[in-house]
Amino acid sequence: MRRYSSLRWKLTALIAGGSIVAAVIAAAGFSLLDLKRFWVRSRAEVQAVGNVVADQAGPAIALGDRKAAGEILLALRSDTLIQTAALYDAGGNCFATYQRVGATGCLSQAMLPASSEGQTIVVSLDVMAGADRLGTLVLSASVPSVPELLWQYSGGVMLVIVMSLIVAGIMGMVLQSRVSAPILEIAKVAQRIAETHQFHDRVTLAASDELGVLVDSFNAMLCEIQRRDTELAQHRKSLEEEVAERSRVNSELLLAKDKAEDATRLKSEFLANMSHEIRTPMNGVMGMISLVLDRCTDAEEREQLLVAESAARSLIAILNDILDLSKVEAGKMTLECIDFELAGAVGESMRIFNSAARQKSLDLQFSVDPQLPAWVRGDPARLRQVLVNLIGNAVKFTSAGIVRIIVENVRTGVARFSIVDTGIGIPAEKLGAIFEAFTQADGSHTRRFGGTGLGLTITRRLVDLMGGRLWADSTIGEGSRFCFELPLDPASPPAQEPAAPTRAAETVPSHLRVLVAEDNPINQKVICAMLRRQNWAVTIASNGVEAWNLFRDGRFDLILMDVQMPEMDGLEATRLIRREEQRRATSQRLPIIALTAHASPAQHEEYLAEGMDSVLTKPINRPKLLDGIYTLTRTAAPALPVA
Amino acid sequence: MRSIAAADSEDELKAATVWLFVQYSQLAPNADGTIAVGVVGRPSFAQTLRHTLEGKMANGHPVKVVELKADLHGSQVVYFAMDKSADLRRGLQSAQPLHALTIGESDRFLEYGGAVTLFIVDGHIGFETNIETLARSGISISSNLLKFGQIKNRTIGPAAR
Repeated sequence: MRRYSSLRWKLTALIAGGSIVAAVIAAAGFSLLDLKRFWVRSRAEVQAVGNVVADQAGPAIALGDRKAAGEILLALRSDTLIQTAALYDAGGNCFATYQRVGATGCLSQAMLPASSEGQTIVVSLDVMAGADRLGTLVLSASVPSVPELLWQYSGGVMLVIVMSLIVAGIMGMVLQSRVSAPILEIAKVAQRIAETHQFHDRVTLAASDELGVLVDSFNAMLCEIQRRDTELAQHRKSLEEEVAERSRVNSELLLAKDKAEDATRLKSEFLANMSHEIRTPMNGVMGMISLVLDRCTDAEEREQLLVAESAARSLIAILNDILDLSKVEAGKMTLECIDFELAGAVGESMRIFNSAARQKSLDLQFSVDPQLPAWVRGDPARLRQVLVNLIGNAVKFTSAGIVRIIVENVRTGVARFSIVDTGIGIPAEKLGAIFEAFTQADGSHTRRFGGTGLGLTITRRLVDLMGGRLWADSTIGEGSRFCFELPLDPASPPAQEPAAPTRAAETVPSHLRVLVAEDNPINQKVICAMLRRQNWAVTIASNGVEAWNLFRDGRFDLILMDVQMPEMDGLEATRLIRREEQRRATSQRLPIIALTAHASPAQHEEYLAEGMDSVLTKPINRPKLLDGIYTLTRTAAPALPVA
Repeated sequence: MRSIAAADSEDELKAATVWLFVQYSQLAPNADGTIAVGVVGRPSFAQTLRHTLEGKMANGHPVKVVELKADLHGSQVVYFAMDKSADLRRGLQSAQPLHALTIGESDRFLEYGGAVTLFIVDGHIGFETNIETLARSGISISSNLLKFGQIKNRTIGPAAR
């Protein structure tokens, strides 16, 4: 523990030091003054003695009484200062002398010091009798030197210093009790508070001087600190409660968020499953309608079938929208990054609506900024999807006039697509809401123009996903303009490929033994009907195991393999087949076409890597199926019998 | 001045001594501010004394020497240069009420009421003082001077200053 004696000792030392310094200065000053006074007094004393002696010696000189004069001078023995004295008559002859030390005898006037020098005082006095000068008295006195005098004074100085030290000690003790004691008490309390952090401690000293003010101020400061400490504790407590409450709320919010995310995920999964489950029978419906349409010659029936096919397409489009939205929301939407021709992609998207535009007498126009690179890198499928959505909307909501597609170069690497129509327009207050899911500018539009209200939502999500932005401006009755900008890096055009030969009837295989591995009975029937219409032999397998067994037992020219099947999926079955082919060391590779509802490029790559030769995306119609078989026929011609 | 020791004759010695007494005594000057030293008796001494004192100042007062016959008034110092006892007695009696310093050279001068008598021994002058007479005359003589002479009636109160 720290000792609190330093202040007291400091005070004592200060007082002692001050006292000693003051004593030394005073002693030196007084010594010098005394020395000066001593000199003056000594001179005055010698002068006075001289006067007396001269006065007394006058008659002796006058009477010629040398003996009496010598006796008078001898009386100077009592004065220790006077060393020599000489009495001369009026003629300057030595009359009598006195020397304190040394031989006696008369000294000539020249032998005596002429004047006062150093430690010697010389006084020369005329011996007078009235106005008559009888002679001269010369006195020589010796005074102590300055060091001698100081040495004589040193005893007194030391005494003064000792006394000063004693007084300083006493004053230090008094000050310790009067001054340092309260300060030390304050220091003790301060240290105690620093160790215990208890601010209720107080200094209990009563004083009416500045120290009292200090104590009062210190206590007031402690009061203030204690008050603030209490307030801080209260604040901290309330903050802790608030934090705890917020933590609880946050936990609940996190729980709610997790629940919401779970619900969203479940909803997306549900929607995806439902879409898949609905699309599968719809594929059957489409396929069957397509088959019936191929042979239907009655105009009325054909019209009815076309309406049914259109309705089925609409339903599938809705399902696709729902599926896309679910993928976007679930973050499972993936983008391609391939080189494609920009004008071609825009033109393809626009041409889809040629028929509809003609029916409404709309003028469909499109222009591409020549500054834009012809080939760009991106996801052409998603770009087409966005364009189709926007052009489709423009065509849908425009009854007369123009639908114009303008592609401009905003800056290097960024293209702006504007779809401008002269349609009904969108109210300004609804422009912000049209991109929300399941929202249309006017509820009546759904009834009038159809649609789920998902198109613009998916469109904006896709644009966002591609790193662009989408916006719209519109004037009621004058039309709308939907714009989006996309980052599109320029790409090099691919090397010129030879033109693909058109599919000729003679290139289609005349006879094929096709193994169809499909678990869905409707799809089985549709696919079988399409293949049998070509007079091809069709064998059905309901799962991968059956397909694998049939492959081992029979001979087939082609396998249509559904990817998702019970017991053994199409991928596993394909792997077994390829392995068996390797085991047999046959040179012929059996073509396998994957049938799948999953259309992502990555999955296509995966299927091809597992040993499949090509991929057909459901729903499958007859032209698509035959085209796929034809394409595979060209690449795998040796394995397939060509008509 | 020449010292007494350097005096050529006895009269000169005595004159110088008289001059000492004038200097070392408290004498009230006359109305004209002078201090008069009267000589009764031998005229040659009056001459010598005049020669010694004329023109000198004693305590700021000019000193003059006068030869006296019967009237001793007006002299602060009266020197009796005579030996006859009867004359001395008479002269001293007449001087007594004048409060003058009386100086003589007769052996019985003090007995007759004189204050200071001078004598010469071995060529050196000496003097004897009657303190009683001095006290009676009211004249103070410096002890610095008196201590060089002999004192008669020492028990009498102080006459020296």
